[in-house]
Amino acid sequence: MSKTESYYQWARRKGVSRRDFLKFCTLMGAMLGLDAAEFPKIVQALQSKPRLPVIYLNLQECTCCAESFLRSAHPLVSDLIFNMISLDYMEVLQAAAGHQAEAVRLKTMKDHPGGYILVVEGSATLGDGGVYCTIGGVTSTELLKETAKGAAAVIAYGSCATNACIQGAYPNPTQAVPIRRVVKDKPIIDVPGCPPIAEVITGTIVHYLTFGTIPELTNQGRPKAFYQHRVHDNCVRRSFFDAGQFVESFDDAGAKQGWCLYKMGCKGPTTYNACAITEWNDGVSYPIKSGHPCIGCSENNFFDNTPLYTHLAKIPNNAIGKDVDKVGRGVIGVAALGVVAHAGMTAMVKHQDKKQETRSKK
Amino acid sequence: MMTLRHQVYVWQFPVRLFHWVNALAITVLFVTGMYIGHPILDTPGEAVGNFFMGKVRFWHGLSAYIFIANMIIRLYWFWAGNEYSKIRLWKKEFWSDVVATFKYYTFMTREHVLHVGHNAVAQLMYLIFIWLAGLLIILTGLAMRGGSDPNGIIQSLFGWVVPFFRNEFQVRNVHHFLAWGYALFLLGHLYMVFRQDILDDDGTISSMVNGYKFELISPDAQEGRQDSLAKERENYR
Ligand code: SF4
Ligand code: SF4
Repeated sequence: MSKTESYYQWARRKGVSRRDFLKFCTLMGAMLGLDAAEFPKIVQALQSKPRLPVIYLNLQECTCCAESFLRSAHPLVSDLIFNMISLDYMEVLQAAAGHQAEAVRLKTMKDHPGGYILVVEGSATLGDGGVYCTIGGVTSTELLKETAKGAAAVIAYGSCATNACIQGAYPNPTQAVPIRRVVKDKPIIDVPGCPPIAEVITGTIVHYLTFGTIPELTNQGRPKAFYQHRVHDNCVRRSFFDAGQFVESFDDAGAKQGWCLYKMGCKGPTTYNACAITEWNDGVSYPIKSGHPCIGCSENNFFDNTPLYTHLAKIPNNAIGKDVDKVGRGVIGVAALGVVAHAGMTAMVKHQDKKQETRSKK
Repeated sequence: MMTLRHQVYVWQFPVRLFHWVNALAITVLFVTGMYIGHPILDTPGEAVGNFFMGKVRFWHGLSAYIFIANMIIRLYWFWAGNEYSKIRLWKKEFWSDVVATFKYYTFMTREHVLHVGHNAVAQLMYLIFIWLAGLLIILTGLAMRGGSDPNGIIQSLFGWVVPFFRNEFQVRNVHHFLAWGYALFLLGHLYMVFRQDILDDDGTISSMVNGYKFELISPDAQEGRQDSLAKERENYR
């Protein structure tokens, strides 16, 4: 394959018809939420741009993101990922191992300086010089720094990469940190979730290879097309929330009726993710639809805001060890005692003053 | 001996209006807010016919906007209003009054400076519990509202708040925490107001309705004052 071969040329060589190619472009446009006028841009881009080299690093993580990514449900999407981009390095998928594998990574970095996309799954570790995660003899943090140097953009894929996820929860023994903390001079796209929905990462890559720029981001640095809405605001059970009908335990009548899971610990009201819209496994369902409360997996420090099945307002605050409302009631109680004591004291002082007055009058 | 007082117009209409609108808004906000946090009632029947939680959230939002507008108007009145509607933190007298009043409230000293307006400790409390906490509760509240309309004005203005607190869960926590600050404030406020009205008999409570307080005329000034009052009475005869 020549380096200058465009997606279109490549696809034609693989026996894809023009018609199928155009269908694919339409699908991508729809996935990204673009309007029809943008469609020619996608076609144009894919006809002229060379395939995008991608390096995929697996740092400190559990590989659930890669698992999710491999299950990109739509055949055209997985086709895109495995055929259209050139996924040059990904430990869990590549055939090469050991020095050979590292050599591939270094070659891609040398051949496309400033031209490849770096997808990072997992967090960097700073504790004890980063010894808690080493790959090929170097710490994950070093590997990340080295590989990010020549990248055009970095996609932090999964909650580990965006907020250090579970290993970053208190007390964070390995000092796991998000990618942003280590890579500071590259555009970074956060794609959080534990794991994120497959279509979200493919969509983000498609956006980059179509437009050559990172997609519009939300206030939290996530692609707007997927992360702008709260799970709660598009939830299938929202009508029950608004009506005021809540499941009280997993086996009650409300649960059978599909009522809102707010009191079962649902974090949907504070979670920004595409679950309620894109849904999982080719749009089959998503946790809340299947009867399980959202655990807020895409939010920073979500694992510190636990227990998972405790109602939002009753989750003990980490700093205080009690939930805010309990603390509030306690403070009011103490203050009320204070008021009573102060009032008593005032009465006493007043009484004494009066006594003195009458005495001095005599 | 007769204690002479004269009437002073202290709380101008906008100040009184602010006070009562604020009181009402905070009450509604606190009750609806707590309910949103802890929805204790289950609505019977089908969801289609009910919008109870939705209504609670609506009233919470509506009172929040009233609360905000009210605060903004009052902010203007700091500038436009009379002497008693201002707070002057940068003045030396303010801080010496804080010390003096604190001593009086903690029974370290008996004598106390009489104030027609607020004493400095009260002003400081308003600054902390109403203004600073209010600002924070407004910011956190609007940040959470903004999320419902990701491309709206509120989100573009207050979108930075969520990353500032790391995540929306903490934003919610802070919002709740501050709500309790208002309950605490109310308790102290009511106690102090009644105490003041009883001890100094200066019409503190009624002043919040009609604006007038009754200032004590100092004993040395009373002599002359009594004369002039007598003269006045003569005139009326
Ligand atoms: S189940 Fe969760 S996300 Fe859905 S409406 Fe209830 S609280 Fe919101
Ligand atoms: S429903 Fe919530 S916890 Fe579940 S995947 Fe979506 S964001 Fe994560």
